[in-house]
Amino acid sequence: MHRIAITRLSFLSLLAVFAVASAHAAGGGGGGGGGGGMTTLSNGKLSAADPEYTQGVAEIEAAHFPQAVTLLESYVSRSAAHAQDADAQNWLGYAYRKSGNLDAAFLHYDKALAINPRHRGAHEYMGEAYLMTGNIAQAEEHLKALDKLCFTPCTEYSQLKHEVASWKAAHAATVGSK
Amino acid sequence: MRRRSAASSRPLRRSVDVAAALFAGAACVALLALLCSPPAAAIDAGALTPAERAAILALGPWPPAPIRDPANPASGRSDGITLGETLFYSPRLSPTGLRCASCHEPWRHFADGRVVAQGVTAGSRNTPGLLDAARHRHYGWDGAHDALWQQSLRPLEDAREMPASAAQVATLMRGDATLSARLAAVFGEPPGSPGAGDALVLREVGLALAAYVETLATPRTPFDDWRDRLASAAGAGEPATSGVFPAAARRGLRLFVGRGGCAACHAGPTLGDDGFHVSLVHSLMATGSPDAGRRGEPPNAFRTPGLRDVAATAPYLHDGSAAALCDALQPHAADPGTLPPPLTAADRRDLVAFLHTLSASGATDAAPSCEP
Repeated sequence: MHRIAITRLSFLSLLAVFAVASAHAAGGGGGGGGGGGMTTLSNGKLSAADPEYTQGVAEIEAAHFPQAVTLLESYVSRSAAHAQDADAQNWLGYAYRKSGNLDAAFLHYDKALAINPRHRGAHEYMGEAYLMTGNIAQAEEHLKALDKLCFTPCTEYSQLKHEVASWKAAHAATVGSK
Repeated sequence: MRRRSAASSRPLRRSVDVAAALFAGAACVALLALLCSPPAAAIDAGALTPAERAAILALGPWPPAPIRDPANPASGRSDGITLGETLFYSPRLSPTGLRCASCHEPWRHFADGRVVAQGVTAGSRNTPGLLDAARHRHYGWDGAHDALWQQSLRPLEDAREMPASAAQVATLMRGDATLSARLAAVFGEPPGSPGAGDALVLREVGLALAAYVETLATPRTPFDDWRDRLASAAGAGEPATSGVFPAAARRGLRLFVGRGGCAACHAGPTLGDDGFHVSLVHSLMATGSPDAGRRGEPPNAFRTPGLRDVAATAPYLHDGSAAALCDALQPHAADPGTLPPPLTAADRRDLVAFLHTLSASGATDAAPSCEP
């Protein structure tokens, strides 16, 4: 019995290690937020203890998007290293999108992905931004990208999948009513 | 038990015999190869000839001085570049929500990873990457335009791609107060009135897009470091190979500038002569008719693309039919006119090793093994 318990424990530990390794391999995917998949940043990077960055994220969580834009724009403009922070670029894209500025949202999602092509949060939000423009094909491209990145189930994939399905259902209903 | 084991040893003995025969055969073939062909390792290890040295140095230095377009008022201006950047990433230029960045995706090195372009309908050619586009004299696989601002408008207006009209674009630029002000700041006057002014606004959008695209350039690479050390080496000396510029890459480079004949077309610091050469790969347009390539040139002539960062931009060739670099080399290797003798699998492996050193991050393509 004791032996079985240890074996189970080891198995669970292995699973945990595997999950962490998978998340790391997938590029972290931090900088999420919004929709049903609000995720918390967990990084030990440049942004971790930066007051401007953390306040910007807090403003997003409080749905104060213009304030978040101001803080995060200031953060990414501070230095070349700050501009290369994929999480910050993704959050900034999110704040712009929620402020209604899709031009800037796309620009910053693209910056996040250029820095880290495996950034799951940026793929999810880029897909959602495309849905806002009515471009389902491009949204599905990012869903495919997430499918490849999420070796284990991830919220970014399931959230975008849900949004795509909802968009299709709504679109079908609109077409059907005409 | 004994009988069974005796019976089961028979096939084993046969396979041992066959293996021995195969081994002996292979040894003979290897011996013949050693006797009948020049020892590749000796050639590869030898010093570079003066001609090879000159040809290698001609593939740099990198980066060259930035290029500005004197005919483009937005070129090199920060407000022109940022306006172009906004438009490049905007989903509002096209009524479909497609963006320039939908097919020239920054995270895919400004290509799209697809076999052929996918706008509102599928195209018939592979999407060229945009890095170093400022250094081209011709744009598109067929060189349909010779100015970057004109090429920037081509997909925007193409019915298969974005597709937008001058009137739609001009309406956007006039209707958005911020965009209108930014356009006026760059070009000195607000967007003209609807009608005759639409074409002018569209042109200015193309100029702003071009000003941004001009800034997209490939970075220095392991090859550039090796090449620059070669340039500064005294006499016939040359830099050592390393993990980022391995011996295989050096062999591939010698093939590239020598026996392979690659540098005849993939010439200069961009490793592309911007000229038009007849391709051995024939493809069809979306209409089903053959893709004739460049007008005014022999049939099936296409623009030679540059090779910097090439490992990151699969698939390859004008029709995207080559999934990996080795596949892209195969049609070249089959050309007895330009590449005598044909490239072997080992040659292609070395060439691919060299091509990988043209990316800053040591990018690797889908199938680097180059199986025969």
